[in-house]
Amino acid sequence: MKLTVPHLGHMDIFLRAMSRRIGPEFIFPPKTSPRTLLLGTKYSPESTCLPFKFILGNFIEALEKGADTIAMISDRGPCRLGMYDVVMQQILKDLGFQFDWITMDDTRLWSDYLIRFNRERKKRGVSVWDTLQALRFSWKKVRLCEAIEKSVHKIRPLEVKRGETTRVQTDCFKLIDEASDFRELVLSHQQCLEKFNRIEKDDSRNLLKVLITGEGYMVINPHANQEIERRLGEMGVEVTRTMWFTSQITYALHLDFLNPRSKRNAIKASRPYLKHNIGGECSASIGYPILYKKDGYEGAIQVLPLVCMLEAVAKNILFRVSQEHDIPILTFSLNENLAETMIATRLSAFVDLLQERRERKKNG
Amino acid sequence: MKGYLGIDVGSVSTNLAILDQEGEVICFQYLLTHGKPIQAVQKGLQEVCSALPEGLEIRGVGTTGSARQLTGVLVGADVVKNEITAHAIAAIHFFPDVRTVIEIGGQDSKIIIIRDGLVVDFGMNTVCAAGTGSFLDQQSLRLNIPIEKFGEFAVRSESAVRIAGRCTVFAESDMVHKQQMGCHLDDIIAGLCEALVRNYLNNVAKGKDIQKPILFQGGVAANLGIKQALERELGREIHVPKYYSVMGAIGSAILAREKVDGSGPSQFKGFGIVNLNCRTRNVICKDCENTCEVVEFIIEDNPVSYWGDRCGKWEAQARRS
Repeated sequence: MKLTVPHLGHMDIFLRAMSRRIGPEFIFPPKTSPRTLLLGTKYSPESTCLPFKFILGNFIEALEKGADTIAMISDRGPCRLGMYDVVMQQILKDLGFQFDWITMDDTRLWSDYLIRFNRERKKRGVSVWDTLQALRFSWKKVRLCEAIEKSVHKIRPLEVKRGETTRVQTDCFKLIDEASDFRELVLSHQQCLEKFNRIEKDDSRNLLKVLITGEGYMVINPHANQEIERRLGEMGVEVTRTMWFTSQITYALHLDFLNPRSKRNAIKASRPYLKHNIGGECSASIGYPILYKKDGYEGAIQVLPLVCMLEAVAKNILFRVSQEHDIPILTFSLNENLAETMIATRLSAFVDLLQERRERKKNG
Repeated sequence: MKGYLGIDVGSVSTNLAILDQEGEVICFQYLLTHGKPIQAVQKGLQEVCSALPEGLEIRGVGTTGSARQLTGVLVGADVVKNEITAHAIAAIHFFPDVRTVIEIGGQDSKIIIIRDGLVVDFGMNTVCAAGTGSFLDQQSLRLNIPIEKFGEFAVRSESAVRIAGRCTVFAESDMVHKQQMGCHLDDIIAGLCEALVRNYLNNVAKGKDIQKPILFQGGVAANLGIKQALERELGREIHVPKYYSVMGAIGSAILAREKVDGSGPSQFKGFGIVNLNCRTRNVICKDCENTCEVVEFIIEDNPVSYWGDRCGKWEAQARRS
């Protein structure tokens, strides 16, 4: 079996680490590129959302590379994501590809997955101990990557030479990915810290703080959101985002009770505005700006696919949230017709708006 | 005498304005970009230069518009700002109490919400250019009515016909249908103005808190038919400022004055640049899978600047050389 999955944040670093220790063999899609989007758009119905097109493109490129099994998530809806795996399978079959398909379906019980996983493990002769160690190792890698991203969010707006922090980030991800055991990982971590220390910074800048929220895929993938974190960082804005690999897992396992800015708390904060959980990140997108305002975040940007029903609901509710909690919110509805200057212009105007607000508040 | 130059280079029009120390407009220029921003800027500078009073020295330059970066490098700008900020600044300059700015340009439209002289919200059309100046130009060409006379027709109408507003293609086919049915041209054009306004209010302005005083600027503000349709829809009076077509340039000039006053000499390269051979060259960088489209800016055969790269190494190259 040569397994493939879509590109999603640092999932490939996690899975590559697991795979090297306990298998199975992965063939990851090549890094998402303009070609990926071209393929995905060509073979998708036009009204599907942008993540669908990227993921389909990933699968096509992975199959071209020799993958023979695809793992894709599905859910019970109400978002269309629940239908994606069925539609994608049909499209790929129509294109003439041969493959097996594994649906990661959240209507199943956790015990179902554990049982299946255990069966696979025994078949390969992998011990429980090795499995736990592999999980621990892979999890640590992702946590390190996320820590690096959080540093980048704080340091990039201070950089003197444009692009230096981003280059360091790319190098660090590579170092972490290549570490093959805990010892090497510690060394890589050291090297990353050194690289960060060497970045030329101007600490005198007084940075604006902006939150990036919205639909999960769009928030976590720079190739989908027009590299919004990098753009804002290079404009001198400190950002954070609401979607992280580790936070999604801890939320799903109900282990996030210690985090005041957790998804659970965000959903709670949205209840005065929306009493039902309609799926996806809708409630969380409404609640996060309310939570983060308390941390001194001065503005929020909601990123969503153009046709996303859930985030469109959140978008309309965020009008009120913005007024009542006095936090400017900018919305980007994106599809494959990505107009570069539009993003740049509106981001620039938004940053100006926040800057002026801050000056106004300071001067009383 | 000190002057401050603002240049707004958009996809359809290029505007220049020169303000004096007190913020009074000394002269301005409105010309068509015609797909060649560098030439348009050079031509505009030439025209404006000849209209300048004796002894006026340009002490600061600001650029805005979709070609603001290119223009900034070409002329040596002290400040390069997005057009939302520039339009807002100009509006506040002339009408400090303004609370809403409606701007309909050649290919985009904006709404800017201002409270107490501060921008608090804005909207810009993104996916579609229906309901902007280009569409009106297209219809004026088809009907053989000069765009300046368009408004007169609309104002004469006693009962506008309903025209589909969602898409320029559908609107045109609707207009043709109505004209072939025998409807009066006045009523059709009035219907077109209403459709444009409906489109604007349903898309760009949706959800925005529109309060008066309301300013209407941009090239389309010359069209009386649009102004009246806006007033009817909003139920409020709308003002068209005197310099409605060059507000972006005025805003940039004001921003330039703010930036330069106190911080030293201007980076303006002087009016001599109208005579220099300036051009750009496209380079597709193949160093990584991003395949960025890098623009190389060349003055008299010397590469002066690069932009368009995500990683910044091309930009850095220009800094070094």
